[in-house]
Amino acid sequence: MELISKGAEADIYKGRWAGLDAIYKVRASKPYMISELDERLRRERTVREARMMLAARQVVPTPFIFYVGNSIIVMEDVGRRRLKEELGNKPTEARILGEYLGRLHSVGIMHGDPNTSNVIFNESSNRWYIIDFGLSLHTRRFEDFATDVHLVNEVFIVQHQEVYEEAFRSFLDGYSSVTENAGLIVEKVKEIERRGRYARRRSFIF
Amino acid sequence: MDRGRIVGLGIESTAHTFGASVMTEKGAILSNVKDVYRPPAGSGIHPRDASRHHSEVAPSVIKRALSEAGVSFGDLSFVAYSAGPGLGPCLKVGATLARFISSYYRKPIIPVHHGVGHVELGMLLTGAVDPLVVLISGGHTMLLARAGKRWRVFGETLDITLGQLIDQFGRAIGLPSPAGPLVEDLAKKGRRYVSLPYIVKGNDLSYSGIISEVKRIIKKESPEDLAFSVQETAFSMLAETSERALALLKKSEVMVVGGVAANTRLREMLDAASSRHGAQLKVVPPAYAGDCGAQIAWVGHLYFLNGVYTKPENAWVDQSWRIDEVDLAWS
Ligand SMILES: Nc1ncnc2c1ncn2[C@@H]1O[C@H](COP(=O)(O)OP(=O)(O)O)[C@@H](O)[C@H]1O
Ligand SMILES: [Mg+2]
Repeated sequence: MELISKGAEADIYKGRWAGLDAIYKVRASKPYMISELDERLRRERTVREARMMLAARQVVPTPFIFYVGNSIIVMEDVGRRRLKEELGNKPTEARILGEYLGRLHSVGIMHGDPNTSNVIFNESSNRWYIIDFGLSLHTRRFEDFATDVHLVNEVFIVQHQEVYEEAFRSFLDGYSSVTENAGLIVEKVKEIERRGRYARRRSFIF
Repeated sequence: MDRGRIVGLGIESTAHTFGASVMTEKGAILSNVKDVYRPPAGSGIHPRDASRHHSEVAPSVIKRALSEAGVSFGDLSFVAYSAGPGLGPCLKVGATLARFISSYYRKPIIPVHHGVGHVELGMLLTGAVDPLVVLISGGHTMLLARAGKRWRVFGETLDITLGQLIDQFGRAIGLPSPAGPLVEDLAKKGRRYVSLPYIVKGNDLSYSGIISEVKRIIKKESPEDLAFSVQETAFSMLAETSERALALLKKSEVMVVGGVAANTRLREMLDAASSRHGAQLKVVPPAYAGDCGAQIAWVGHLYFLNGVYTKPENAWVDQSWRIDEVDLAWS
């Protein structure tokens, strides 16, 4: 099988499943972790990812799952057009990430890794998909939703600096269009960012 | 080696350590003297007590730094001090002294960001060129990479730092702070892994859950097993987020700086994590991993060589100065 991505957490292969194009997401063992922790994480994240992908399907498009093993998920291949590469030319596309995240939040799902490599355009259905639910959670806490939004902000600052303003505005437009609590959550994001960034407290020494 | 002709003084006083160092513009460390405040066992750092300690030791530390380097105040081209982030009272000790030296001897003064100090001294000493930086000092747990005139953050803790986690854990089991080396020794005797919260969110991580869980089970488990489990969990989280940043940035070097870099187990994990992505690990030499005057003196030179310095009346401190807000005058 062809390796198409080597992330921190998993290796992604392109293959076939029952005659269909498939993605194999394999959580390989990490040599530096003690085995108890390594096995616990691989198992937990695989199971969680499969469950959450299913749960998320009620509100957003996620790949169809073919098979789930101990540390492997085989799923529908939704294509190669990632939001990451599209955003530079068309920053307003960020709206879709906002909409999807908002819809997930409104049914109590925190994504946990909402970056632009995890949003893929599927040519055959003409729809965006969202993937990579290994760090997601069922939650009702505003703090968790705000963390998702904070992570998007970080990703945009770091990876989409040239189009940051427009992209983040579009993201927030999308997000607010589907959640009632967007305002409260944005306030919470500011709080989280202050915790790391704090308020300015520069003072002359006397 | 040409030791250089410009000599500058760097003063560090953000937290436990009061340090002073004289360096040349070529990066020769002519002296690096420090005195570390040690709070009583089981209690944390009290800013007032630490600043009192710093005021007491400051004159002799600075005098020794100059005499070991064989220079006098008059020979200095500038005085640099750590302006933040850190504990207000401690920062003020260093800043006030630097301002006194600057105005009395008519030398330019240079405020330096403590974290930038760790990073740039690491670059000098490891020879790293364009690394992913893992900055793990008392006040920082961050993944950084250079982007133009700034150090940009690619991941960080959402709550307490790794250094704080280790100190808080140490205190919970009755060890004196800073507890790093003692916790490391205990961990080597741990046998059983106790499951602790492993929290990674995007490229960020969160350590506060570990300390709450430890406090909940502290009576049931041995200090050795707890130390082992805290290290394994916390370090694995950092190694994983470093891998995430590497997968994104595709750097060929990973540089580890800050006090926690002295931990052998952590270095081993980061080494393995780096090699999974074909990157080479570079670690700041242990003698310069912890807070010290050299990190401030060296950044002082980087600014001075680029004509960035100020007058004593402009000295300031900023307890929560963010590393990604610092304008770097050098490339
Ligand atoms: N179902 C899928 N269809 C198409 N591409 C996929 C699919 N799943 C993963 N990929 C590709 O592999 C990359 C990494 O997969 P992901 O599940 O996000 O793992 P990681 O945790 O390593 O980010 C994605 O950014 C995407 O390019
Ligand atoms: Mg992904």
